[in-house]
Amino acid sequence: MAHGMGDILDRLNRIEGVKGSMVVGRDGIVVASDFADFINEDAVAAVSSAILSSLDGALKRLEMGGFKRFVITGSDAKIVLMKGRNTLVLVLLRKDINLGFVGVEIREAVAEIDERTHL
Amino acid sequence: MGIISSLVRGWEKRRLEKIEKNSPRPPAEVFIRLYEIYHSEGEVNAASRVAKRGMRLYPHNPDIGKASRDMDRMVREIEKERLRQKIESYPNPILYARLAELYKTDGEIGASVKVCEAGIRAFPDYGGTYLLLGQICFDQEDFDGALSYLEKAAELDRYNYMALRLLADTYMKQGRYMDAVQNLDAILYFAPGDEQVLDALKAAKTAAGIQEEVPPEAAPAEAVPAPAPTTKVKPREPAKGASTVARQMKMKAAAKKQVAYTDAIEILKTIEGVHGALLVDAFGLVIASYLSQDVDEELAGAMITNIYRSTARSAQQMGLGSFEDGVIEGESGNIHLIAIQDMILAVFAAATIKMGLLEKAIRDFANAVLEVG
Repeated sequence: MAHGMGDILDRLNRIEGVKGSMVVGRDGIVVASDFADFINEDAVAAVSSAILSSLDGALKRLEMGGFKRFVITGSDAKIVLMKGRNTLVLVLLRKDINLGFVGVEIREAVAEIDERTHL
Repeated sequence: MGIISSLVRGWEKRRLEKIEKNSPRPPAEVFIRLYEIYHSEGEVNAASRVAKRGMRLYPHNPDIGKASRDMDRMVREIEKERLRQKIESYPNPILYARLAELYKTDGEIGASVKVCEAGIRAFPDYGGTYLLLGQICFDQEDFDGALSYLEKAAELDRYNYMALRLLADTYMKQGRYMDAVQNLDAILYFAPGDEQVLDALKAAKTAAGIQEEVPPEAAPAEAVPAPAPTTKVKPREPAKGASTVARQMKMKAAAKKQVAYTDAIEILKTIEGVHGALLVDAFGLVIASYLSQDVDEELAGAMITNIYRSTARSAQQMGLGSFEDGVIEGESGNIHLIAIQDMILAVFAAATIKMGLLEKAIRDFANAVLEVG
């Protein structure tokens, strides 16, 4: 893991139902990553970055302000994409997990990452 | 099958299911054998699920690849039969487009064309079927044919991502680079930041000899939305032999369905904090909507379809399986996206909305749509 964010991801990954997490730069490059199962990290990072870029523009055009968070539920799992100041944080969850508690933890993790990546 | 072998098979099935359930990465053989058992017992959903998971974990295993392809084919055959029956009993243009698309996926091009033509006869103002014919022509390198169908599709729905995208590719094939640039610019209006379109636009501009690169976000708003391309194709009249009575019945059925969708949208209006809702088909056509008057319905429909399309594609790539729903949170409101059959429901809501109420309303909406679907 890079940029000393391992402890933040490690904390996230200890939460019940979290299957892994990743920090992605604005350019779609993996900054830090920790997943229990194999995933193609580079591809997921690129896809996440593309989603962010697409949603940010669409929300502004629909006059809903900038992008904050995207929660996608699939047939097998759930993913949370949350925008930080300079990064995008991605958390993979079990499908049945309620986002109440995990959501707060993710928000705190993003704030901490923001602090560490603040130039 | 004898009693003993049946017992052994049942035992093997339970053992493999246990491994598949509890192991984060079961051996490839587990998926192959489980698939064979489910398949032979006619458990289509279970076989499909196992094949998909096996494919995600072992994308290069030839046996799992074959099982996955066979399964996909079987699921498509079941879906084709369902669509054929629906078209007979309760037709709408989306059913024709979906059926034609499935035939096309299986390489049954003749059948796909026939379904498209029948769909156009019954519903001449629906762009999805023209788009499919355009795709077929494009694949067969009949670019003149592709152009006529795609221009018609874009004329009927000026925010049709796929039609405009393929139209741009066709213009490029024909050396009409400026037309390609114009179409790609039009897409960026409702799909801002789409990387594939930005790359294609760059290539089209280079081919057209345009040097300066203007970021799409910085372009003046009035310059971006391109007018719908002019068409060379006249709307098709019903075939001479077509039964007028049958056609009228089909139109009535479609109208009844439209009323049911609009009624279902009304359910959502009653929830405090819901600002609007939109039901669109896979091609971006708005089926029913409830939006404030200052929102361009077609544009919103195109944007929602585009977001859904990229998200659904990404969900597979990110190992989430097939897309079920999504919540996009913006600074001043949320968009809830739900896939219902071949349609997408988008609900625009305040961030403070009571999620329980909204989820119940969405469930009611989905049930109402499925009832008539």
